Amino acid sequence: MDKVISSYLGIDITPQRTQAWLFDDHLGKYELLASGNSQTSSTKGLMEGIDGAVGQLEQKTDRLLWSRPGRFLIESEQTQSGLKGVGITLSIGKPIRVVLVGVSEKYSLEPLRRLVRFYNTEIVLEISLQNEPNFSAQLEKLTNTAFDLLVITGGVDGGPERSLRAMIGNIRLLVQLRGVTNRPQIVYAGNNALADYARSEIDAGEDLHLARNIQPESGREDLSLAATALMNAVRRLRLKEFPELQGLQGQSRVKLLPGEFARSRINQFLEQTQTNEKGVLQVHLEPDYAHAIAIRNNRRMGVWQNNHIDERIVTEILEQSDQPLDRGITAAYISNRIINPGYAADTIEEMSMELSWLCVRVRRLLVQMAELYSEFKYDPPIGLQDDYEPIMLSGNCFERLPSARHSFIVAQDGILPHGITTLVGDDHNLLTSLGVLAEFDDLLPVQIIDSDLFSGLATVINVDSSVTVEKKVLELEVDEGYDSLRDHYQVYKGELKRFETIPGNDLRVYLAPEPESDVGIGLRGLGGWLSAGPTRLGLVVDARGRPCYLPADDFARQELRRDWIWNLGAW
Amino acid sequence: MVMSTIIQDNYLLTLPVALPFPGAVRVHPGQAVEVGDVIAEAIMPKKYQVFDVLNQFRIREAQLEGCIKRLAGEEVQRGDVIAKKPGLFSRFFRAPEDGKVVAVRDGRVTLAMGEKTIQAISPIAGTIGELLPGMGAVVVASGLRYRGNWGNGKVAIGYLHHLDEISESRLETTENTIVFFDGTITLKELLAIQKAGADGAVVTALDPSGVSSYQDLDLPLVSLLGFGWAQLDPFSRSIIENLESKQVYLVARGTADDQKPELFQPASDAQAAALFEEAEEPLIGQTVRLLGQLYFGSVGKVVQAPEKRQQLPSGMQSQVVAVEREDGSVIRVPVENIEKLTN
Repeated sequence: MDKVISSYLGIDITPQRTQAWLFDDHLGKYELLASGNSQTSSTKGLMEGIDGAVGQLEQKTDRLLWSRPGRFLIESEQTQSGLKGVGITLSIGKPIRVVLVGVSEKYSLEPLRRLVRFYNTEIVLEISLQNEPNFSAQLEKLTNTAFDLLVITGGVDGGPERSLRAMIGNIRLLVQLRGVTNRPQIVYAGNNALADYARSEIDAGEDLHLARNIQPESGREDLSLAATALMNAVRRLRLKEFPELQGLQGQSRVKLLPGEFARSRINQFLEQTQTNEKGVLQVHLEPDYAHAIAIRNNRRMGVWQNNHIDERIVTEILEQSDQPLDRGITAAYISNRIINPGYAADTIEEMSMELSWLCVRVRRLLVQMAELYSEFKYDPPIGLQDDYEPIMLSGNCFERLPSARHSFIVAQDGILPHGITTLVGDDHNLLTSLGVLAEFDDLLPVQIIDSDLFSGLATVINVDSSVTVEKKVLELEVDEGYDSLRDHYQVYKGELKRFETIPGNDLRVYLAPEPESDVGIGLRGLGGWLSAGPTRLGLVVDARGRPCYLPADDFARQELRRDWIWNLGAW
Repeated sequence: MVMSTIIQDNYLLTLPVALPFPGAVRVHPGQAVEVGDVIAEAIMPKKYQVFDVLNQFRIREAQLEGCIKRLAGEEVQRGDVIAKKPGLFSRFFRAPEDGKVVAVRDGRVTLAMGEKTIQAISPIAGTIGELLPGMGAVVVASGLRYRGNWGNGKVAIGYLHHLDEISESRLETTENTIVFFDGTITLKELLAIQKAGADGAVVTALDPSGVSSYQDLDLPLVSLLGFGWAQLDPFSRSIIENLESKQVYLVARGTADDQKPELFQPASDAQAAALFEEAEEPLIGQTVRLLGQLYFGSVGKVVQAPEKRQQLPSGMQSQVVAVEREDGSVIRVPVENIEKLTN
């Protein structure tokens, strides 16, 4: 009997482009067969972009993927080869206007902010039932606010119910006023004892999403209990916003997920399967938004940030740049870049603005994450203080950069990681799509991640030392594995040093830090052997310190930044 | 890559006009609407009062039924008894205003009182192209459009007035007009135009020193090029100057919107060419405008458009086209950094 070959199609829709990927297992394990890419049309509907991207795949693979636009040719018979599933991720849509309702600021509203800021949302109203106990005022606030999604929590399981019950009554009235076609999505994630009451009272059918209590007992918060309910609400809102997708969603074995959720699924998988006891961080940069996901101890943290410009950002860009830049020109360039997301940086100065801006965006994103999650230890001058490995870099902004060193410098300067870590580039922008295709066959993402489609950008040793600049912080003994003599190197405070790796060979390095230097092995002065797999840049030692050593003089600072990029080589 | 055209005649403008809350749509597809026509309206209670009978009267649940005197859905007059606690010292909850009992649940009575109407008014004249159920409709109009690059999210209608300099005496002429200023304008100058009573402003470019402040202006504002220092090319300038004293719409869509902002002149006899697919034409020979600070706002003709990607001085790879500028110089720019000026 012939081997049954399973194919899966992944589609990701962003405001600028629609991408499609076809995977199959004809060689015994899943591989990427081809990818397609089409412009997303804001005026002609999303089907135009999907049609273009899928059409390209059909041409490249000489296979029919849909019988007519909007109808995929899916093989339902398990014993037959063919397309077995389609996963669509939506990384597009207007900010969702959200109302948060909780019993208290600390135990309800703060967790709810963490929960909803994972998505592209705008919080338009918050009601703390403790601070606003007047039921009439609560109802007036609700009815006078235009919103798409209401998330309510509060009370531990079995705890007091009165204020929550009254609010549920108000929500019931609101749902009746809005009517079936325009009622908001409602997520209830409060006291479990009231879940059935909420269902029967609010009576909003599929627009009500019940979750378990995100604070089941006093002092314990678990946002994962509401993650699926919130994702379902976001998905319904996106389907309302893009009704042309409803036909696709209705087909069997076609799954549609918000892109944010799909990405986090893969990060969670990576964190659970790795043995280094570190977290996984992903920084996703698109021209009009940024999204960060950190998974640590099986806990998901995430934040979405829409792009904007203000005077402070311009100042930060000027400080970060490796070229002498005029403030007005920089402000104009960045403002126009936001207006024209497809613009290609043409000159050296424009590339400098571009890199600095991306770096500032990464920093601002992580600052916001640290504001939301106290356990995410990030402070711009000091950097990221917890151990995260790998750090995944994805999105169109990284993809468009001319070389690995450009991506590296944006991520390294933006994140300022501590200890030893690996930066990995999602060059084919696959992570989002793999997150939805995992629903069909969890072997698919596993095998694709293990393939060479993800490029290791660099293994980084971050040396933390309080010594003054140009003092020795680390000695390295490098074994390239060719029976040759081992090379010895010294690294001084303020340096960014690169050691190339050879494809197919691990680079073995013995780290001998100075007594006051911490290289992330556990104690200051403690060293040991490190094996760095082959990556595009190789092994990079960042001895610039935290905060990063930088001269006060503008010209000297810019020259030093140019030197650092130069030291990273031509790749 | 599909490039949208900056100047388009017989263009179909589409403008969604919607309520913030669901209500009743007052128009039908194909209906002609004028400026100020009601597209949709929502009639809502002015205020609510929730009375917690159980807690306010301090009674047991078993006593509740006897206390509540009105049912959900009933109209009430000011002073009507809604709930009454019997006994030696009886207590009353009376309707504070005329209204309606909208809910009696769980020991609470909710009254809706008064009435307020929220309307979605069409800011432009046109035809209803599509209904947005319960929320409003999309108004369409055909005519000449000049696509801008940045807007502050507001809409205005008025007669275009070319302002060649910003002085006290010239500002007096701007009241109730949509001002066109060719050049880079500052926030201070825009505030002066707003104070002079203009209905809107369309400018060549915005001074980048106040990047984050323009959004908050009450004055509907469109920047044709974006941010920087430039004047319009002679062709664009002549098109806009031809609109002097004519009625135009300023649809200053913001960056959060999917589409770019537009300056639009309605034409009753125009054909709606935008209903049809915009054909992709070869790049060579097309008049384009250059993005980027080096040649900000200048225009030229594409004279070469090789398919092969090249490396730019920045290190990026792109398809590079050769553009002959109006002064005869030929420059090479990435295809992403040009905009098609006309069809």
